Amino acid sequence: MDAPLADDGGLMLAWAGGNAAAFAELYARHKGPLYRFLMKTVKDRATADELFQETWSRVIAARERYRADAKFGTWLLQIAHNLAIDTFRRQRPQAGVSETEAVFAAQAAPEREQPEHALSEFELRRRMQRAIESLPDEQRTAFVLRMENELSLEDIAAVTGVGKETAKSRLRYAMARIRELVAE
Amino acid sequence: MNPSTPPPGDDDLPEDRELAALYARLPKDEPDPALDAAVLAQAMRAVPQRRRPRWPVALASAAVLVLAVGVGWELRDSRPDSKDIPVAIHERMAAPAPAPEPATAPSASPAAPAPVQAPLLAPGVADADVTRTETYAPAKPIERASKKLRPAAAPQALRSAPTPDLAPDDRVGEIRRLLGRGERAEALRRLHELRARYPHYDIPQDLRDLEP
Repeated sequence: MDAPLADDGGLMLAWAGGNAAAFAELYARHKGPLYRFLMKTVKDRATADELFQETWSRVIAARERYRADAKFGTWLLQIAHNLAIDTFRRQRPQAGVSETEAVFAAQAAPEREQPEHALSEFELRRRMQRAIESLPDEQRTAFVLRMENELSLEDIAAVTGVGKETAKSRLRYAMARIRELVAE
Repeated sequence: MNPSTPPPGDDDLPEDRELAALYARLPKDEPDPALDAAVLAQAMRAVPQRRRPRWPVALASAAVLVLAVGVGWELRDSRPDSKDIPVAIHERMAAPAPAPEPATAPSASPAAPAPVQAPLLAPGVADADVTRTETYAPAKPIERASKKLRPAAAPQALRSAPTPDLAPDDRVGEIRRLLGRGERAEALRRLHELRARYPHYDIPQDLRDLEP
Protein backbone atom coordinates (compact mmCIF):
# COMPACT_ATOMS: atom_id res chain seq x y z
CA MET A 1 0.00 0.00 0.00
CA ASP A 2 2.52 2.60 -1.10
CA ALA A 3 1.39 6.20 -1.15
CA PRO A 4 2.46 8.35 -4.08
CA LEU A 5 2.20 11.62 -2.22
CA ALA A 6 2.15 10.97 1.54
CA ASP A 7 2.78 7.65 3.21
CA ASP A 8 0.16 6.05 5.39
CA GLY A 9 2.15 6.62 8.55
CA GLY A 10 2.44 10.30 7.81
CA LEU A 11 -1.28 10.56 7.17
CA MET A 12 -2.05 8.76 10.39
CA LEU A 13 0.15 11.10 12.38
CA ALA A 14 -1.29 14.12 10.63
CA TRP A 15 -4.80 13.00 11.43
CA ALA A 16 -3.91 12.36 15.06
CA GLY A 17 -2.59 15.91 15.07
CA GLY A 18 -5.95 17.27 13.96
CA ASN A 19 -5.79 17.14 10.16
CA ALA A 20 -9.20 15.89 9.04
CA ALA A 21 -8.21 15.59 5.41
CA ALA A 22 -5.43 13.17 6.32
CA PHE A 23 -7.88 10.61 7.66
CA ALA A 24 -10.14 11.02 4.68
CA GLU A 25 -7.21 10.25 2.40
CA LEU A 26 -6.17 7.27 4.48
CA TYR A 27 -9.70 5.95 4.50
CA ALA A 28 -10.10 6.37 0.74
CA ARG A 29 -6.94 4.38 0.11
CA HIS A 30 -7.74 1.42 2.30
CA LYS A 31 -11.49 1.10 2.52
CA GLY A 32 -11.92 -0.96 -0.69
CA PRO A 33 -9.27 -3.62 -0.06
CA LEU A 34 -10.28 -3.88 3.58
CA TYR A 35 -13.93 -4.26 2.76
CA ARG A 36 -13.28 -6.91 0.12
CA PHE A 37 -11.04 -8.79 2.52
CA LEU A 38 -13.85 -8.88 5.07
CA MET A 39 -16.48 -9.77 2.50
CA LYS A 40 -14.51 -12.76 1.30
CA THR A 41 -13.47 -13.77 4.76
CA VAL A 42 -16.87 -13.72 6.48
CA LYS A 43 -18.90 -14.27 3.28
CA ASP A 44 -21.79 -12.12 4.49
CA ARG A 45 -22.38 -8.46 3.73
CA ALA A 46 -24.08 -7.53 6.98
CA THR A 47 -21.30 -9.10 9.01
CA ALA A 48 -18.69 -7.53 6.77
CA ASP A 49 -20.28 -4.10 7.30
CA GLU A 50 -20.25 -4.58 11.01
CA LEU A 51 -16.66 -5.73 11.13
CA PHE A 52 -15.62 -2.99 8.71
CA GLN A 53 -16.93 -0.28 10.96
CA GLU A 54 -15.54 -1.97 14.04
CA THR A 55 -12.12 -2.20 12.43
CA TRP A 56 -12.04 1.53 11.81
CA SER A 57 -13.35 2.19 15.29
CA ARG A 58 -10.38 0.32 16.67
CA VAL A 59 -8.05 2.27 14.41
CA ILE A 60 -9.53 5.50 15.69
CA ALA A 61 -9.27 4.37 19.29
CA ALA A 62 -5.68 3.24 18.87
CA ARG A 63 -4.43 6.25 16.93
CA GLU A 64 -2.30 7.51 19.79
CA ARG A 65 -0.51 4.17 20.05
CA TYR A 66 0.13 3.86 16.33
CA ARG A 67 3.79 3.79 15.43
CA ALA A 68 4.68 5.41 12.16
CA ASP A 69 7.27 2.74 11.41
CA ALA A 70 4.58 0.04 11.34
CA LYS A 71 2.83 -0.71 8.06
CA PHE A 72 -0.58 0.81 8.34
CA GLY A 73 -2.17 -1.57 5.84
CA THR A 74 -0.87 -4.64 7.61
CA TRP A 75 -1.95 -3.27 10.95
CA LEU A 76 -5.41 -2.53 9.59
CA LEU A 77 -5.81 -6.04 8.20
CA GLN A 78 -4.55 -7.52 11.42
CA ILE A 79 -7.31 -5.80 13.32
CA ALA A 80 -9.88 -6.92 10.76
CA HIS A 81 -8.63 -10.50 10.79
CA ASN A 82 -8.79 -10.72 14.57
CA LEU A 83 -12.35 -9.43 14.51
CA ALA A 84 -13.25 -12.00 11.86
CA ILE A 85 -11.78 -14.80 13.94
CA ASP A 86 -13.83 -13.66 16.92
CA THR A 87 -16.91 -13.73 14.71
CA PHE A 88 -16.16 -17.25 13.52
CA ARG A 89 -15.87 -18.38 17.08
CA ARG A 90 -19.18 -16.81 18.02
CA GLN A 91 -21.26 -17.99 15.10
CA ARG A 92 -21.18 -20.24 12.12
CA PRO A 93 -20.40 -18.57 8.79
CA GLN A 94 -23.57 -17.23 7.13
CA ALA A 95 -24.94 -17.88 3.67
CA GLY A 96 -21.80 -19.41 2.19
CA VAL A 97 -22.12 -20.60 -1.33
CA SER A 98 -25.82 -19.85 -1.57
CA GLU A 99 -25.28 -16.13 -1.12
CA THR A 100 -22.57 -16.18 -3.74
CA GLU A 101 -24.97 -17.84 -6.12
CA ALA A 102 -27.50 -15.11 -5.42
CA VAL A 103 -24.93 -12.43 -6.09
CA PHE A 104 -23.91 -13.92 -9.40
CA ALA A 105 -27.48 -14.59 -10.38
CA ALA A 106 -28.30 -10.93 -9.87
CA GLN A 107 -25.40 -9.80 -11.99
CA ALA A 108 -25.80 -9.41 -15.71
CA ALA A 109 -23.00 -10.60 -17.96
CA PRO A 110 -21.02 -7.69 -19.38
CA GLU A 111 -22.51 -6.53 -22.67
CA ARG A 112 -19.16 -6.43 -24.41
CA GLU A 113 -18.75 -10.18 -24.05
CA GLN A 114 -19.62 -12.19 -27.14
CA PRO A 115 -22.56 -14.54 -26.60
CA GLU A 116 -20.48 -17.60 -27.32
CA HIS A 117 -17.92 -16.56 -24.66
CA ALA A 118 -20.26 -14.97 -22.11
CA LEU A 119 -20.79 -18.14 -20.11
CA SER A 120 -17.09 -18.87 -20.11
CA GLU A 121 -15.98 -15.57 -18.58
CA PHE A 122 -18.90 -15.26 -16.24
CA GLU A 123 -18.63 -18.87 -15.27
CA LEU A 124 -14.93 -18.51 -14.63
CA ARG A 125 -15.52 -15.67 -12.22
CA ARG A 126 -18.32 -17.56 -10.55
CA ARG A 127 -16.18 -20.62 -10.11
CA MET A 128 -13.38 -18.53 -8.73
CA GLN A 129 -15.69 -16.93 -6.18
CA ARG A 130 -17.14 -20.25 -5.14
CA ALA A 131 -13.69 -21.80 -4.91
CA ILE A 132 -12.52 -19.06 -2.58
CA GLU A 133 -15.51 -19.49 -0.36
CA SER A 134 -15.08 -23.22 -0.17
CA LEU A 135 -11.58 -22.95 1.24
CA PRO A 136 -10.90 -23.49 4.90
CA ASP A 137 -10.84 -20.22 6.78
CA GLU A 138 -7.08 -20.05 7.22
CA GLN A 139 -6.37 -20.82 3.58
CA ARG A 140 -9.02 -18.44 2.40
CA THR A 141 -7.59 -15.67 4.55
CA ALA A 142 -4.09 -16.28 3.23
CA PHE A 143 -5.35 -16.35 -0.34
CA VAL A 144 -7.36 -13.14 -0.05
CA LEU A 145 -4.55 -11.31 1.70
CA ARG A 146 -2.33 -12.28 -1.19
CA MET A 147 -4.72 -11.59 -4.04
CA GLU A 148 -6.77 -8.71 -2.75
CA ASN A 149 -4.34 -6.94 -0.47
CA GLU A 150 -1.12 -8.00 -2.22
CA LEU A 151 0.66 -8.79 1.00
CA SER A 152 4.00 -10.55 1.12
CA LEU A 153 4.28 -13.87 2.86
CA GLU A 154 5.89 -12.09 5.75
CA ASP A 155 2.99 -9.70 6.08
CA ILE A 156 0.44 -12.48 5.70
CA ALA A 157 2.18 -14.23 8.56
CA ALA A 158 2.08 -11.05 10.63
CA VAL A 159 -1.62 -10.46 10.01
CA THR A 160 -2.64 -14.02 10.72
CA GLY A 161 -0.29 -14.46 13.65
CA VAL A 162 1.62 -17.46 12.30
CA GLY A 163 5.10 -18.13 11.02
CA LYS A 164 6.09 -17.35 7.48
CA GLU A 165 6.36 -21.00 6.45
CA THR A 166 2.89 -21.71 7.80
CA ALA A 167 1.54 -18.77 5.83
CA LYS A 168 3.31 -20.00 2.72
CA SER A 169 1.95 -23.48 3.15
CA ARG A 170 -1.60 -22.24 3.57
CA LEU A 171 -1.26 -20.08 0.48
CA ARG A 172 0.10 -22.89 -1.65
CA TYR A 173 -2.75 -25.20 -0.62
CA ALA A 174 -5.26 -22.45 -1.31
CA MET A 175 -3.91 -21.75 -4.76
CA ALA A 176 -3.77 -25.40 -5.69
CA ARG A 177 -7.35 -25.94 -4.53
CA ILE A 178 -8.66 -22.92 -6.40
CA ARG A 179 -6.91 -23.91 -9.61
CA GLU A 180 -8.44 -27.31 -9.28
CA LEU A 181 -11.95 -25.99 -8.71
CA VAL A 182 -11.79 -23.36 -11.43
CA ALA A 183 -10.54 -25.88 -13.97
CA GLU A 184 -13.38 -28.34 -13.32
CA MET B 1 -1.82 -0.65 -2.69
CA ASN B 2 -0.41 -1.22 -6.18
CA PRO B 3 -2.36 -3.94 -7.97
CA SER B 4 0.20 -4.40 -10.69
CA THR B 5 3.32 -4.82 -8.57
CA PRO B 6 3.90 -8.17 -6.88
CA PRO B 7 5.05 -8.04 -3.25
CA PRO B 8 8.80 -7.85 -3.07
CA GLY B 9 11.03 -10.41 -1.39
CA ASP B 10 8.73 -13.46 -1.59
CA ASP B 11 9.40 -16.91 -2.85
CA ASP B 12 7.99 -17.41 -6.30
CA LEU B 13 4.57 -18.99 -6.33
CA PRO B 14 3.91 -20.11 -9.90
CA GLU B 15 0.16 -19.87 -9.61
CA ASP B 16 0.31 -16.27 -8.55
CA ARG B 17 -0.06 -14.36 -11.81
CA GLU B 18 -2.69 -16.48 -13.47
CA LEU B 19 -4.88 -16.61 -10.41
CA ALA B 20 -4.28 -12.95 -9.70
CA ALA B 21 -5.50 -12.10 -13.19
CA LEU B 22 -8.65 -14.14 -12.69
CA TYR B 23 -9.15 -12.76 -9.21
CA ALA B 24 -8.91 -9.22 -10.55
CA ARG B 25 -11.97 -9.89 -12.69
CA LEU B 26 -14.16 -10.61 -9.72
CA PRO B 27 -16.75 -7.99 -8.70
CA LYS B 28 -15.25 -5.24 -6.60
CA ASP B 29 -17.31 -4.86 -3.48
CA GLU B 30 -17.23 -1.45 -1.86
CA PRO B 31 -18.70 -0.19 1.40
CA ASP B 32 -21.96 1.71 1.17
CA PRO B 33 -21.80 5.51 1.26
CA ALA B 34 -23.67 5.41 4.56
CA LEU B 35 -20.93 3.28 5.99
CA ASP B 36 -18.32 5.66 4.66
CA ALA B 37 -20.10 8.57 6.27
CA ALA B 38 -20.38 6.80 9.59
CA VAL B 39 -16.68 5.99 9.72
CA LEU B 40 -15.61 9.46 8.65
CA ALA B 41 -17.93 11.10 11.16
CA GLN B 42 -16.57 8.95 13.92
CA ALA B 43 -13.02 9.86 12.98
CA MET B 44 -13.83 13.56 12.94
CA ARG B 45 -15.46 13.41 16.34
CA ALA B 46 -12.53 11.57 17.83
CA VAL B 47 -9.89 14.15 17.01
CA PRO B 48 -10.41 17.86 17.60
CA GLN B 49 -9.69 19.55 14.31
CA ARG B 50 -7.08 22.26 14.51
CA ARG B 51 -8.01 25.57 13.01
CA ARG B 52 -6.03 26.86 10.13
CA PRO B 53 -3.46 29.37 11.22
CA ARG B 54 -4.55 32.90 10.47
CA TRP B 55 -1.14 34.39 10.11
CA PRO B 56 -0.93 33.79 6.34
CA VAL B 57 -4.10 35.83 5.85
CA ALA B 58 -2.78 38.65 8.04
CA LEU B 59 0.55 38.57 6.28
CA ALA B 60 -1.07 38.68 2.87
CA SER B 61 -3.29 41.59 3.92
CA ALA B 62 -0.30 43.51 5.20
CA ALA B 63 1.59 42.83 1.99
CA VAL B 64 -1.32 44.10 -0.12
CA LEU B 65 -1.54 47.23 2.03
CA VAL B 66 2.15 47.94 1.67
CA LEU B 67 1.92 47.39 -2.06
CA ALA B 68 -1.08 49.71 -2.39
CA VAL B 69 0.65 52.43 -0.39
CA GLY B 70 3.79 52.04 -2.47
CA VAL B 71 1.94 52.24 -5.76
CA GLY B 72 0.01 55.26 -4.56
CA TRP B 73 3.25 56.92 -3.49
CA GLU B 74 4.81 56.23 -6.88
CA LEU B 75 1.83 57.68 -8.71
CA ARG B 76 1.91 60.70 -6.48
CA ASP B 77 5.57 61.26 -7.25
CA SER B 78 5.08 60.84 -11.00
CA ARG B 79 2.53 63.62 -11.31
CA PRO B 80 3.78 67.08 -12.07
CA ASP B 81 4.03 68.95 -8.82
CA SER B 82 2.31 72.20 -9.75
CA LYS B 83 0.96 73.32 -6.42
CA ASP B 84 3.61 74.70 -4.22
CA ILE B 85 6.18 76.75 -6.08
CA PRO B 86 5.14 80.07 -7.54
CA VAL B 87 6.95 81.13 -10.69
CA ALA B 88 7.09 83.97 -13.09
CA ILE B 89 5.88 82.88 -16.47
CA HIS B 90 7.94 85.33 -18.43
CA GLU B 91 11.11 83.77 -16.97
CA ARG B 92 10.03 80.42 -18.34
CA MET B 93 9.14 81.86 -21.71
CA ALA B 94 12.57 83.41 -22.07
CA ALA B 95 14.41 80.18 -21.34
CA PRO B 96 15.93 78.23 -24.24
CA ALA B 97 14.56 74.82 -25.20
CA PRO B 98 15.63 72.23 -22.64
CA ALA B 99 18.33 69.72 -23.50
CA PRO B 100 17.25 66.11 -24.08
CA GLU B 101 16.21 64.57 -20.79
CA PRO B 102 18.42 61.80 -19.45
CA ALA B 103 16.80 58.37 -19.08
CA THR B 104 15.37 58.59 -15.59
CA ALA B 105 12.57 56.75 -13.80
CA PRO B 106 9.14 58.35 -13.67
CA SER B 107 9.54 58.99 -9.98
CA ALA B 108 12.60 61.17 -10.51
CA SER B 109 12.43 64.66 -9.17
CA PRO B 110 11.19 67.31 -11.57
CA ALA B 111 14.48 69.11 -10.98
CA ALA B 112 16.19 67.34 -13.91
CA PRO B 113 19.52 68.68 -15.20
CA ALA B 114 18.85 71.31 -17.88
CA PRO B 115 20.48 74.53 -19.03
CA VAL B 116 17.74 76.51 -17.35
CA GLN B 117 15.80 74.91 -14.62
CA ALA B 118 12.14 75.61 -15.37
CA PRO B 119 10.19 76.21 -12.18
CA LEU B 120 6.72 74.83 -11.87
CA LEU B 121 3.44 76.61 -12.14
CA ALA B 122 1.40 77.67 -9.16
CA PRO B 123 -2.33 77.03 -9.21
CA GLY B 124 -3.15 80.67 -9.36
CA VAL B 125 -0.91 81.25 -12.30
CA ALA B 126 -2.75 78.66 -14.32
CA ASP B 127 -5.71 80.96 -14.56
CA ALA B 128 -3.70 84.04 -15.37
CA ASP B 129 -3.71 85.57 -18.78
CA VAL B 130 -0.16 85.00 -19.97
CA THR B 131 1.56 85.46 -23.28
CA ARG B 132 3.91 83.13 -24.98
CA THR B 133 6.83 83.77 -27.21
CA GLU B 134 6.87 82.59 -30.80
CA THR B 135 9.16 79.77 -29.80
CA TYR B 136 6.42 77.96 -27.98
CA ALA B 137 2.82 78.59 -28.86
CA PRO B 138 0.20 81.20 -29.66
CA ALA B 139 -0.92 83.30 -26.71
CA LYS B 140 -3.46 81.26 -24.83
CA PRO B 141 -4.25 80.81 -21.16
CA ILE B 142 -2.11 78.16 -19.59
CA GLU B 143 -4.00 75.49 -17.72
CA ARG B 144 -2.95 72.64 -15.54
CA ALA B 145 -1.62 69.59 -17.30
CA SER B 146 -4.21 67.43 -15.66
CA LYS B 147 -7.07 69.43 -17.16
CA LYS B 148 -8.09 70.14 -20.72
CA LEU B 149 -5.21 71.23 -22.89
CA ARG B 150 -5.41 73.16 -26.13
CA PRO B 151 -3.23 72.42 -29.11
CA ALA B 152 -0.44 74.93 -29.51
CA ALA B 153 2.55 73.24 -31.07
CA ALA B 154 4.93 75.23 -33.27
CA PRO B 155 6.69 73.61 -36.22
CA GLN B 156 10.14 74.47 -34.86
CA ALA B 157 9.40 72.46 -31.73
CA LEU B 158 9.24 69.30 -33.77
CA ARG B 159 12.83 69.61 -34.84
CA SER B 160 14.20 69.33 -31.31
CA ALA B 161 16.75 66.73 -30.29
CA PRO B 162 15.50 63.09 -30.31
CA THR B 163 14.21 61.65 -27.06
CA PRO B 164 16.42 59.10 -25.34
CA ASP B 165 15.19 55.54 -25.53
CA LEU B 166 12.71 55.56 -22.67
CA ALA B 167 9.92 53.12 -21.93
CA PRO B 168 6.44 54.36 -22.84
CA ASP B 169 5.46 54.94 -19.22
CA ASP B 170 8.60 56.96 -18.65
CA ARG B 171 7.86 58.98 -21.75
CA VAL B 172 4.40 59.77 -20.43
CA GLY B 173 5.97 60.99 -17.22
CA GLU B 174 8.34 63.23 -19.15
CA ILE B 175 5.53 64.65 -21.26
CA ARG B 176 3.52 65.49 -18.19
CA ARG B 177 6.50 67.17 -16.58
CA LEU B 178 7.03 69.25 -19.68
CA LEU B 179 3.41 70.29 -19.70
CA GLY B 180 3.65 71.13 -16.05
CA ARG B 181 6.58 73.39 -16.80
CA GLY B 182 4.72 74.98 -19.66
CA GLU B 183 6.87 73.42 -22.34
CA ARG B 184 3.93 72.49 -24.42
CA ALA B 185 5.67 72.31 -27.77
CA GLU B 186 8.28 69.93 -26.49
CA ALA B 187 5.59 67.92 -24.78
CA LEU B 188 3.66 67.65 -28.00
CA ARG B 189 6.76 66.62 -29.89
CA ARG B 190 7.44 63.92 -27.36
CA LEU B 191 3.85 62.78 -27.52
CA HIS B 192 4.07 62.53 -31.28
CA GLU B 193 7.24 60.53 -30.92
CA LEU B 194 5.58 58.24 -28.38
CA ARG B 195 2.70 57.53 -30.70
CA ALA B 196 5.06 56.79 -33.58
CA ARG B 197 7.32 54.59 -31.52
CA TYR B 198 4.63 52.70 -29.62
CA PRO B 199 1.50 52.80 -31.77
CA HIS B 200 -0.30 50.22 -29.61
CA TYR B 201 0.50 51.86 -26.31
CA ASP B 202 -2.59 52.95 -24.42
CA ILE B 203 -1.93 56.67 -23.95
CA PRO B 204 -3.57 58.14 -20.83
CA GLN B 205 -6.72 60.11 -21.40
CA ASP B 206 -5.27 63.50 -20.45
CA LEU B 207 -2.58 63.20 -23.09
CA ARG B 208 -4.87 61.69 -25.64
CA ASP B 209 -6.87 64.91 -25.52
CA LEU B 210 -3.75 66.89 -26.19
CA GLU B 211 -4.01 67.58 -29.85
CA PRO B 212 -1.27 69.15 -31.98
